Amino acid sequence: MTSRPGLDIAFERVSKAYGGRPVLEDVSFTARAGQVTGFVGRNGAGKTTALRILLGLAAPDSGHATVGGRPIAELAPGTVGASLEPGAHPARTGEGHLLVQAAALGVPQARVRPLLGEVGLASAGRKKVKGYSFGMRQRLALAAALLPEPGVLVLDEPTNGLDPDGIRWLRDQLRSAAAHGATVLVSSHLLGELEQVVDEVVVLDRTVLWSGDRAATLDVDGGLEQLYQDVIAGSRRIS
Amino acid sequence: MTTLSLAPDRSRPASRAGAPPGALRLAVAAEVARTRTTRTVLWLGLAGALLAAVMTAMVAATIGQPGGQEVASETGRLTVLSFGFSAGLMATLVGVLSVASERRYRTMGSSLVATPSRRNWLLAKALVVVPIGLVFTTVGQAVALAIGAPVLSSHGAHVDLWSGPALQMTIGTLTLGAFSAVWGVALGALIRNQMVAVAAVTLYSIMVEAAVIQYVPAVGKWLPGGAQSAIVHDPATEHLSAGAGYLVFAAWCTVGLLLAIRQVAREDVTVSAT
Repeated sequence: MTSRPGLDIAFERVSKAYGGRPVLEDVSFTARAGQVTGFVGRNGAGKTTALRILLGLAAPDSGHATVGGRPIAELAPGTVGASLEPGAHPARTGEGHLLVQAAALGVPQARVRPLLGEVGLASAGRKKVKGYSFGMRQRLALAAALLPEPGVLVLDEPTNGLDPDGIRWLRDQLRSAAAHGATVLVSSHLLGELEQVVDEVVVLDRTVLWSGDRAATLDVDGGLEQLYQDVIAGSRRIS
Repeated sequence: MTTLSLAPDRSRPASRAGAPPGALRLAVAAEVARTRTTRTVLWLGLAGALLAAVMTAMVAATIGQPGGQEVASETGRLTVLSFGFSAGLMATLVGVLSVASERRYRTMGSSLVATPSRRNWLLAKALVVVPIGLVFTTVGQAVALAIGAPVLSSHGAHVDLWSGPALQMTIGTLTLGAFSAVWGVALGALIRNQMVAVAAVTLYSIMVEAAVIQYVPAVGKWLPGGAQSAIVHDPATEHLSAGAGYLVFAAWCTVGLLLAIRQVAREDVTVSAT
């Protein structure tokens, strides 16, 4: 699923405030190529803001977030595939949405139809997005992220709205991508699901509270979920 | 493994060279695809043609009526043929919607991930709406001439469409669509809410600006609408020369686009936080 080399994602002392209210404070971590990095934290912890900064959709007040040492704006189109929310023009068909993305990324149009089939939207590709369920929109957003066969995947709550088959398909996609050398950074509240797919975990609550590899979660009774609770409760600190 | 690092210098951004080569071409291709995958342009184009037809027909219907449109003078005859310019409003709205709909339907985030250079993203929109605007006003003027010219002939009033003020008006109307669409892109970027943008542009163009041009022409002729009147050689208003009109409207478009690029470049694109 990936035809491009993976590149490390690096957050370096990233801070961001809105209206004087800090949302991110001195966030630093690296998500490495060939690994799936889980990005967890409670609602309002700053995960989406951090991902927006990485993708160039918001500017940090200080610090920087890079892919392969460069801001995303300087990378070749399609280096990064991302899904932050299932947004698409309601009057456009699913196929049309992907054709727009394909044109923007220089991806051949011929890739669109097979990809729609891959995400389970083959029969809905020519229907307008306004008729899609939330789960179908999520699948469409994931298709857009996978369209350029990126070396770096950034996904925000990609399992939202997916049925069990979809979640399993996504899990296989993420593992396959990492196995082929891609960098995968994925945020999720479904810790049990995340635990099955991640190599690394970063726990965020305005700042990085904890980061470490999956093996560390295996040492904890209750796995990632218990580790997360311990970190949030303050009984575990940055590893 | 995932590690915490404290900003090693070697991993700072390697260059500030900007967007990669070919980025604007891809942005334009994406914008063309956006235009082709919805019917917004088609409906607005039809609305522009309909508007030109209705306005021409309404004025034409008053010819010969008490208090109606006089056609004894050249100015009167040209007025009957001048409503192709009303399609320019739809060209402006095409530009507005090309930006504002991305905010409304929250596609701006995915668009800017694919096209990270916000300047290219906006310039691509401006480039793509130029031919669309041109087609809008061309069709609008063709409709106005197709309705107006036979009506004038039936009243014994003749206008030479291929020379003089009538030709100048037609050429001006055609080019007006291109300028208006670019102006719309700037307004769509500067006014962040789609509904507000569409309503504000429509009301301003039809009422506010028209009133200023009518009642305070010394000011009105320098406004975008005043410049548009000069470009189309509007027989009903006091305006600048056509050349000055082009320059003034081009200046408005340039300043608008520069402000729009500045605003979009500084904008934090919101998505639904999880």
